[in-house]
Amino acid sequence: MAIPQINTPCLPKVASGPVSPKGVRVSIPCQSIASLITQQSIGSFIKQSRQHTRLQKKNTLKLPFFNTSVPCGFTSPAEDFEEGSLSLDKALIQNPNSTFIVRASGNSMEGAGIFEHDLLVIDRSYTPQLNDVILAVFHNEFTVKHWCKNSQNQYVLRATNPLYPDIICEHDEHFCIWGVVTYVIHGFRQT
Amino acid sequence: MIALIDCNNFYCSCERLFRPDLWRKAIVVLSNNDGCVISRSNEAKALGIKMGEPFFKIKDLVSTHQVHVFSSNFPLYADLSNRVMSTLKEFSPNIEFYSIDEAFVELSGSKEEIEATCRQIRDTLYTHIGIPVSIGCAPTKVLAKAAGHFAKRLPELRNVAVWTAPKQWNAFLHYLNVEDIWGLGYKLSKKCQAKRLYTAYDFAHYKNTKWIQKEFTKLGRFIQEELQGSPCLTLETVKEKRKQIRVSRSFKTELTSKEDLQHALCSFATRALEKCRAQQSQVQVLSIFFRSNPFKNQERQSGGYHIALPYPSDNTLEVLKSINHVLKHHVNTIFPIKKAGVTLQELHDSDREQLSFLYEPSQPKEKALMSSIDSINKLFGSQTCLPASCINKKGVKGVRGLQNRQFQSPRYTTDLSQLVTVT
Repeated sequence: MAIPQINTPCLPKVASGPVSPKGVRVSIPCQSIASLITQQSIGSFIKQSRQHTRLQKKNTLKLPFFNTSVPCGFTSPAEDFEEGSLSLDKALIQNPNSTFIVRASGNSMEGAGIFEHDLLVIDRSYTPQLNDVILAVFHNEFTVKHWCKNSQNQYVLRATNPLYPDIICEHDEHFCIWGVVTYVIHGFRQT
Repeated sequence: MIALIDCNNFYCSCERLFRPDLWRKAIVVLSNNDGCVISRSNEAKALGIKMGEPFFKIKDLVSTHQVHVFSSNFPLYADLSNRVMSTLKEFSPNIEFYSIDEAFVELSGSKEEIEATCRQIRDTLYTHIGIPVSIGCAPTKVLAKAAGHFAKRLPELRNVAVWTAPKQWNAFLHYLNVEDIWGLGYKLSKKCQAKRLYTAYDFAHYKNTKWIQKEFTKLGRFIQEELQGSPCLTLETVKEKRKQIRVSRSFKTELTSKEDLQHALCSFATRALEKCRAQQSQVQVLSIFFRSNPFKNQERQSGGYHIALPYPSDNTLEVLKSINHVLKHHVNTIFPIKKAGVTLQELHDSDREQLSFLYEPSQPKEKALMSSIDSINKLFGSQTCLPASCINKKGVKGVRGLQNRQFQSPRYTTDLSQLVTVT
């Protein structure tokens, strides 16, 4: 049986000298010895070639020999299609630099879906539009209301709860819009 | 052209963002341990409160004029600063983050375009983040800083000053004192005044450049050239590694036992080594110091030790071992300690590890341990994973609890349990 040729690309070419009864003469450059010794294939090759010449005198023995490493495990068919997991940040925060979060209290805006302890996502980079829910500052206090116009064409802050009257607001030192409420986060199981 | 964006009274502006009731009031922010004033609103400045003034000195003024006082809230300031810097990046890719509230940005175009861009930057930062800034823009960094100085103080400029021609800046340089020139401190400005150089214009056009070179070194000559409009200092877009790292704090109540001192020094060392690893450095020589209260009527006492490690290390546990060794064998008596600190003095690059026959290079296992600890603390919050010597007998982690923070405001933007409530 012919001694199998090792043609592993990562190893230097093994020079084979004349076959002697003691085995194939192998000359290997010094710096590759470490890589060669760890390579199971070469080790078993050398071992096997010695065994082979001994056995040659008795019987021929065919041994299966893998001269390349066998990858273990099963590659996932989904590997090429993996995406990152869902991110609420991505969904709720379009402009991280101008987005802030505050906590709601009171019942003035329950009609808009804002309840006590809810989180409000506020984006300061959006230009407020009529009927937006906004976070405003009125007489040095924060308030969340609809920004609309009343029947007299005045700007007002309107709550959804009829118990709260409209607040007339003009853009002066007592009123300003802090930011536009983009999302409200309401939890069903309150911890 | 280089623009310097400088946030106005930054810490005060941060405190005001979620406090509309303070928008036109006098407020001050105090340093760590509520020691001195580190930021004042314009209304507080008008009351005569100086920068760096010790808090106890202004207590009467504070109560008479109802000045609002805040302890420093660095998690809030850092978050708002990151938002400002991140927004600035959208205006120009060439940006140098100079400090927590200042950045240099490269702009190009005609004078009108640059002025429009500066106004746009100012409006965007104010609308989007609520932080007012002043912008000075000029051909050099020193001039940009000078322009910013005037942009902040002259209401008619509306916080933006763009200087494109020598005629423009020379007019202003007559009104800038030498001590307000960027790069010249109090002592150096005294030297100038001795030579009858009182304004930035005088300094810039002083003919005896040899004297400038001698007294102020190369940097002084650069400042001169820059004041005349020739750029010498480039934008440092890549952050340089620190050459020394120091972590030190003053305490609310003086430390009286060795265990307390050990707890404090180990906490400081842990924090210092986190910073050291973050910039890929290793420490070869470090020092520890501790001292009594210099303001009390008693003899000033202090102690200090230099520790030379056998090889450069970034391993917290090794450094703590050496500090504990010094405390055990060399520190005998403890006086009441008001302030202590750890300084990593000789830093080497991690990737230029020099091998020696006398020691083994840092083990992969130790490196893996340190990097795991850093990852855990990054994910779950700092001080999640600490060496045991950083936790004292009462279970206090680190030294934050040992400091005075009487006037702490909530972390509005970094802690869900500390959000502002709106009705």
